[in-house]
Amino acid sequence: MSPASQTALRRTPNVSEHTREDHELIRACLAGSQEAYASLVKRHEERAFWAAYRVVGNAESARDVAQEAFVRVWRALDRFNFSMAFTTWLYRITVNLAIDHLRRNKRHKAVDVDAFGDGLEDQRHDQSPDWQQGNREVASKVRSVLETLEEKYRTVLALRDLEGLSSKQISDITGITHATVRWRLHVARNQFRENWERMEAMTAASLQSAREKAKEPTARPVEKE
Amino acid sequence: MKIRRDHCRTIRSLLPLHVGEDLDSRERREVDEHLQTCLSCFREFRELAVSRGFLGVLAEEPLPPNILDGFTEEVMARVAIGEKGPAAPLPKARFPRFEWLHLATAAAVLMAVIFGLRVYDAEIEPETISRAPRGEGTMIGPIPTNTPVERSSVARSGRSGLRGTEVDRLQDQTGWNESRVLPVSLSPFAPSAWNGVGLVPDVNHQPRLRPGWR
Repeated sequence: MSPASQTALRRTPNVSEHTREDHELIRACLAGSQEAYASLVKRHEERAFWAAYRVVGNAESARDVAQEAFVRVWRALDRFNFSMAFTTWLYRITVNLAIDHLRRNKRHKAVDVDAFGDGLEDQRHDQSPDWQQGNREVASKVRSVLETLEEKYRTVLALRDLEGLSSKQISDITGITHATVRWRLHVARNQFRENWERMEAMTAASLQSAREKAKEPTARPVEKE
Repeated sequence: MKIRRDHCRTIRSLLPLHVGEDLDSRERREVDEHLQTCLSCFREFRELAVSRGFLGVLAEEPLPPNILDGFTEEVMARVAIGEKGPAAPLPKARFPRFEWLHLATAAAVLMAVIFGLRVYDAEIEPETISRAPRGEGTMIGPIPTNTPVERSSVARSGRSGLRGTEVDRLQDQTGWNESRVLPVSLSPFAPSAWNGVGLVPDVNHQPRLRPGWR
């Protein structure tokens, strides 16, 4: 099983039990209990944060988006459909807000894969044997490559491979058909792989040129006549 | 050989979904069987799996420190202070802001249409040939030459458009009587269709067909 799947499983305990408890809390909220809503927020704040973070790619923005999502949920709680899981609803609101956030701020621009070499120059010199440090670097690279994907592909890929949701759940959250989810997943994984390989090749080329530069003598000897 | 290549193409289109275990059991079995016999497809699968494996690193990323400190409290503060909750749904505005804009646009379009019709009506006044009351028996511009009138009045006048004096002349020559003018309305909203040009229609008219037409 892939690490992503393991993480996803770790984050998703017993679904039916979880759903039942959520529904009880929502009923309490509808009866006027704000404490119940505080419990609901506490239970799902991390989930909402991650969902937003996967799309917007920035922790502070993701926090704002997640908070806004919970406020929207509160406003619309009387329209909650008890036949569905609260998490699906929360994901839908959060992901839609995150996408809106991206569009509104125009922060998400198509990142040029050819510009990868520049950003990686400094990282090369900071490499540390520390496992955590290495992972952080890989995570940073992965995030860069993810940002090269179109928003619609990135959202589906993040929800499937990072959050571990099923295609059916993604279909419910995003409001697109199951077949479209599969197609976007197919395109997203192919594009991710292509861009990842390009980025790796450019990193290797950058390292190679740095090595050659280091081998060159600093000053040419003065030729005697 | 071609069949083999086509099969490889089909399998490769499924590989991105296979790496994430997103295929149904029949597709998965088919792909697995193929991968055991095709080295190039297996390499493709392995590369996809490797690149996807890096996503796992991102999935295990720990929460940024202190990022969710005070999160619930801030949400509850917003909920408690200003945000309307499920117990107090927001009343629907009778005329939202953009409703006025739509109404104003519709009114402007309506006014433009009415004004345009009046100007149009005024412009056609000099071309009127009929003495029938206004709104009835008026004709705009040249008479269509394929109308029944062609063989009677228009052909004789040698023109397609008739003015008042010519009408008088025709009236003298043919004994045409105003009482024989058929009421014709050019208004697009009139229930009756335009059945002539205000002159007596030729009831015996037979449409002329172009040579070769049947």
